[in-house]
Amino acid sequence: MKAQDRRSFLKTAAAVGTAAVGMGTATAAAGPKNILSPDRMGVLVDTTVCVGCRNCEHACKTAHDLPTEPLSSYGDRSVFEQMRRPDDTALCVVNEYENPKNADLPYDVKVQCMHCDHPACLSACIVGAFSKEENGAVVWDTDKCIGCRYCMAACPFQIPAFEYHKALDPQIRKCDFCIERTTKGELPACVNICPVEALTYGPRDEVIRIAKQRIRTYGDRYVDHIYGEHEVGGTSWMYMAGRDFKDLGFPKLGQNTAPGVSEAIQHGIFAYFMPPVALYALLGAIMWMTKTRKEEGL
Amino acid sequence: MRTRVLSLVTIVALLWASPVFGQGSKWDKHAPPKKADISCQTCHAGSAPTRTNPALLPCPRSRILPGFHPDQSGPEVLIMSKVSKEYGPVVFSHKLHADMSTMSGGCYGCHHYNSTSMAILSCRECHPANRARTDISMPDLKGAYHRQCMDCHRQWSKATDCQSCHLKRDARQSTEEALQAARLKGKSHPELAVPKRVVYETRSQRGSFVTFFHNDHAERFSLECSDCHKSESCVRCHERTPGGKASPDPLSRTVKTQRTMEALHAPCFSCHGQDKCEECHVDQPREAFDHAKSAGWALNRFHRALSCQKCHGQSKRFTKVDTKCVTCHKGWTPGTFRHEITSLKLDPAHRELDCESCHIDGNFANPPSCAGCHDDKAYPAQKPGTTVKAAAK
Ligand code: SF4
Ligand code: SF4
Ligand code: SF4
Repeated sequence: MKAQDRRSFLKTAAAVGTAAVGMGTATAAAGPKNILSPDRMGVLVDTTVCVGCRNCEHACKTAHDLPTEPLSSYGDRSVFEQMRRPDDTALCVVNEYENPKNADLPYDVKVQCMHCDHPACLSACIVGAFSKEENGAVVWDTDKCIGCRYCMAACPFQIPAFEYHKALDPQIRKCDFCIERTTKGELPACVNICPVEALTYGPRDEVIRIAKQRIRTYGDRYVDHIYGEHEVGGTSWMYMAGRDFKDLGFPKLGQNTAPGVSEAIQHGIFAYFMPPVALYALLGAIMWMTKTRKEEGL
Repeated sequence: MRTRVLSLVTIVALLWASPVFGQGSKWDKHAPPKKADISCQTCHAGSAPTRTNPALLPCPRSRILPGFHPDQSGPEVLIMSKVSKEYGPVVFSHKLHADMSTMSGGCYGCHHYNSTSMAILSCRECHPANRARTDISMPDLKGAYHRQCMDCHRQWSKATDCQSCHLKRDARQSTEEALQAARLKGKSHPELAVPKRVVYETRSQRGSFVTFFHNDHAERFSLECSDCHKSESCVRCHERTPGGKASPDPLSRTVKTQRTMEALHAPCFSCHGQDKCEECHVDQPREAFDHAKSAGWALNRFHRALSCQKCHGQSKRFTKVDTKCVTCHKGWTPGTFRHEITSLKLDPAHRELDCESCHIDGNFANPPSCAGCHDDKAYPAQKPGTTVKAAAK
C-alpha cells in the first residue's frame, strides 16, 4: 500500500511544521530533501528554434509509460488551435503562438515543470513528498503523497496535475526531469529526441552563459530576457524568446521565491491561533482519512 | 595549393573543434593563408599567436568570407545517413537547392562557417555527433542539420513530420534510396517564371500605386536575379496549403512581405533617387512603356531589338532624339542607303533622290509623300519600287 501508516505521517507532518516554524534557523533533519547544488543541471528552451514537431511530447510519454499514439501522428498541427496545459496524461505539451516578424514561422513553446530552485510545491507539501535533488530535479514520492493537492495550488506555473479520473489511488503527476534516465547518465527523453536541439541540457550556469551569448550575438532574434534565470528565485528550465514572454503564455513573476510568500501567509495565520504542527496534522489527518475511507469503501 | 587548402580547413576547424588542437602534424602544415581575404586578427587576438598559445578569438561567423566553388561543381545528390538511427537516410537534392541559393544568401546560407578556401567544411567538423557533451555552445550535428532544413521547409510545407525527408527504415529502404537518387540525377531547378509588370498597392500618401516593369529592368539593364533578390524565401513560390498541393501559379500569388521600409526600397534606391517618391508612387497603375505613345512613332523590329541607351545615350534619364534617320545613321546618303531593308526596293529612278524628296523634312515618323513631284501618285497605293521581303542589313 502506498499510503504511509498514520504514525509516520504524523511524524513527518510534525517535522515539516517545525521546519516551517523554525524557518531561517535550521531545517529539521526529517524535512524534505531540498538541495541547491552549485552543479545543478538546467535546460535552455529556445522558443525561436523549436519547430513545434511535438516529438518531445511523444518521448516524454514513452519514457513515463503513459499511453500514446504513434510518433507519426504527432505531426498533426491542428492541436495548436487550443492552448493546452500539462496534465496527468501528458507531462509536457507544446503550444503555438504567432510570430509578428514572420507569420510562416510561428513560435512554439514547450511547457513542463520548471524545476524551481526554491520550489513552491516542495514548501507547500505537508508530508514532505517533494524533494529538490542534487541535479536540480524537483521530484516527489508517490508513497508519501496523500493527494492533498496543496502543491497544485502553490505552484506559480500550475504544473502538478492530479489524476482525477483515477478512482483508485490517484496521484500527483508532473515532469520529473527524467530523473530515472539522468541517474543512468542518459539525457532527459525530450532533450534527446528534439530534432533541432531547441532544448539544450547542461549545467545551469553554463546554460545561462550560452543564453546570454546568443542574445549578444543575435540581438534581433531575441528579447533580452532569459525567463527562469531570476523568476521565483530561479528555475532549472529556462526560456529564450523572440517576443515578450507575456505574449507566449508565461506568467509575469517577480524575483522573490514563491515559497517565501506562501510561508509568510501560513506563519501569519498560525502565529496567533494554533501551532502549525497541530493544524497541519489536523488538516492532513482529515484528508488522509477521507482518502483511506474512500479506498476502503471501494 | 593542396597544402594551403588543408591548413585553411584546419584553422577553421580548430576554432571550433578544439580537440584537434595539439595534433602537431596538422599544425606543422600551418602556412599563412596568402591570397585569402582574411587577416590573422580575424581569428587570433594579438599580433603573435604561437602554437602553444594561439589566442583564438570566438569564431567570427560574419567576418570570415566564404569562397565557394562554382555551383555547378557541387554534388548533385547527397545521401545523409550519419546521425539517423530511428529513421532512414535523407536523399538530399543538393544541386536543386544550390541552383536557387543565389537568391537567398548563396552557399553561405548553409555553409555558414566555411573558410576562404575552395574546400567545403563538413558540418561534422564543428558540430559534434553526440548530444550529451560538455561543450554545448553550439547545436549538435542532429540539431544543426535539422535547423538548416526545417526552418525553411516548415514555412512552406506547414509540416514537421520526419517522413517528409527521411526514408522509412524498412526492407525497401535501399531500393527507395536508389530510386530517389536516380530521379534527382541531372535535375535542375526549372526556369523561373518571370513577371513582366508588377503592381504594388502601397499605403504611401504620395500615390498608392507603384508599377514595376520587371522585364524592362532585368533585360534593359542586364541585371542578374541576385542583383535585387538577395534574401528571398523559398516560400515565395513553394507554398503549400496544409496537407494540400503546391500553389499552381506562383506569379499570381500575393505575398505579404515582412520587410522593413528600408529593405523594401533598397533595390530601387540603388538607381532611383531616394527623394523622388512621386516618380514611382502615382495614383494609378501604369501601363507598360509604349514607344509609339510616348515618342510619337512606333519602333520597327530593328529598333525594337536595340537597347534604349543605343539611341538615347548612357545617362539614366533618357533625352528625346529627333526622328531623322541620319541623326543616328550618319552614313546614310542617297545612293549608299540600301532602301530594301525597309521592305521596299527603290526603282533606279528614285534611287538617286535625296531622302527629303519623299520624306518631307526628313521626318520618317510620317508616311512619305509623292506630291513633291507627282500629282497623280500617292503612297502606299503606288510605290516607288517593289516590295521585297525585308532583308537584314
Ligand atoms: S514549476 Fe511548480 S511543480 Fe515545478 S518545481 Fe516549480 S513549483 Fe514545483
Ligand atoms: S524532462 Fe522528462 S519528464 Fe520532463 S518533460 Fe522532458 S521528457 Fe518529460
Ligand atoms: S521536440 Fe524540440 S522542436 Fe519539437 S516541439 Fe519539442 S522542443 Fe520543439
